[in-house]
Amino acid sequence: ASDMFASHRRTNLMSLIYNELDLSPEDIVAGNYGDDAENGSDAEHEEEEEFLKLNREELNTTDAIDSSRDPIDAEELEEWDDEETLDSIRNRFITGDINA
Amino acid sequence: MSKILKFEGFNYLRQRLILATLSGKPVRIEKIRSDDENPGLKDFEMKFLNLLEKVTNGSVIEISYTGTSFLYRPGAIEGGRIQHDCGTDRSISYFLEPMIALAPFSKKPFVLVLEGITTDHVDPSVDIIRTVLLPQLKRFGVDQNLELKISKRGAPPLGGGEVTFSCMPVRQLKPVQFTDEGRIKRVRGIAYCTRVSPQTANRLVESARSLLNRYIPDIYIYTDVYKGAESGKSPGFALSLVAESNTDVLLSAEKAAEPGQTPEDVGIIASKMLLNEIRKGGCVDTTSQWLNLLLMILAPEDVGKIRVGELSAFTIQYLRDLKSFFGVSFKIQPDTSNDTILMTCMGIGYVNQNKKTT
Repeated sequence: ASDMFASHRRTNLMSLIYNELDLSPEDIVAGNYGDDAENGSDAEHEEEEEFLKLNREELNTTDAIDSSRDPIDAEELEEWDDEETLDSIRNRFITGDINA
Repeated sequence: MSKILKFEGFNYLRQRLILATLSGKPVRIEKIRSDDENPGLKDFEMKFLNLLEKVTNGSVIEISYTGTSFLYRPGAIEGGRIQHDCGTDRSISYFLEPMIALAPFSKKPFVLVLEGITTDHVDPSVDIIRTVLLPQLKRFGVDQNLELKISKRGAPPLGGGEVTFSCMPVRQLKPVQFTDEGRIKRVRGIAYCTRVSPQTANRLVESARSLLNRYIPDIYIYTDVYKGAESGKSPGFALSLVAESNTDVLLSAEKAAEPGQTPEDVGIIASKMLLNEIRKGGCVDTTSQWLNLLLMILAPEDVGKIRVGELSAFTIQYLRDLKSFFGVSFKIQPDTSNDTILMTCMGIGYVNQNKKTT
C-alpha cells in the first residue's frame, strides 16, 4: 500500500509544484495535500484543513531557516540503528551484490 | 523596463536575488517579517545585500523605512577582487553558495575573500562546497581556475575563519545529461577540529568508520587539525563525508558539533546522514540540487537531464522561482524502478556577453 501511495504521490509531483502554488513546499515534501478526501468523511477533512492552515501560519511566523540543507530528521536517523535498514542499501555499493 | 516580480516573505531571499541578477529582472520583496516582534531584514540579510552590491555594477536597492520590503534592480555582474565580512549570524556558505551561481557569468574573474564562520550546523560547510559543489560546476564547463581555499577555520559562535573563492567566467555552459547513478566505490571525508584536543579528529574518524566500514573498505577521512591563528576564535569540530560512485556521482553529508555532543555522536550522525543520502539515490545530493537545476536551465539550447533522489522543500520552491524568473519548467518524471526522479529541461542558452568567443 505504501508503494502505491508513493507512486501516486510521485506522478502528481509536477502539477503539485507548478500548478498548486498555494501549497507550501514543506507540505509537498511531507505529503500534506488535499487528495486524501477519499478515505475520510468531510468533517474530518475540514478539520484537517484547519489543522494545515494553523500549521502554515506557524511556519510563517517561526524563523524558518533559509538554507539549502535539509533539516536533520531524527526519526530518519534512528532507522539506521536497525540491521535490516543497514543491509537494504548494500547493493548501492560496488562491494555489494548487484542482484540483492 | 521589464515588469517587477513580486515576492513575499524573508524566506528564499538569496535565491530570488540571484535569479533576479542573472535574469536582469527587478524584484520587490514584501512582508519581510512584517508580523514579527523584530520586523524587517536581519543583519545577515543586510550583509548579503551588501555583498550583492559589491559583486555587481549598477545595482539599485531601495529599502523601505521599516525594512519590511525592498526593491532590487539588478546591475551587471562585475566580479573582481572582493573582500567581505560575513558576520557571525550565518556561516560563510550562506553568502558563498549564491555567489557560486553568479561567478561563472561575471565580467572579471572572481576572487572573493570571505570572513566568518566556516562550518555551522545550519548551512552546508565550506568543505562540502569545495568537495561537492565545485566539481559539479566543472561538469557544466566551468573549470578554469576554479578553487576554494580555506585559509582559516572559524567555528561558531565567534567565527574568525577565512576562505578565498576564485573562478574564471565562461561564455556559455555545457549541457549536461547525467542519469547513471552507478554504485558507490569509495567514501572520502574531512574531520576538522579547532581549539580542541587534536585527538578529537581521530575520534570522529573512528566512529564514522565503525558504521561505514561494513559497506566498503575504501574510506579515507582526512584529519584536519588547525593550530594557532588559523583556528579561528571558537572551539569546534565537524565531520563532512562524501560518497563517490564509479560514475562520479558525489553524495555528501556532514555534521558539525553542537554544544554537548561528543565526537562519537557527531561521527555517527554524519555517517547515518550519508547513508540516508545514499538511500535517496540520484546523481546529485540534496544540498546541490538547486545548483544543478539552475545550471541546467542556463545551459545551451539542448535537453538537460539529471536524476535526483527526493526533492527537498528548498528545491521545490527553487523550481517555482526558476519558473517565475526564466519561464522554464522542468519535466519531472518519477522513476519507479529505483524511486528516483528524472528532471528534464530545455536550456535557455544563457550567454555571458562580457566574455568574447575564443
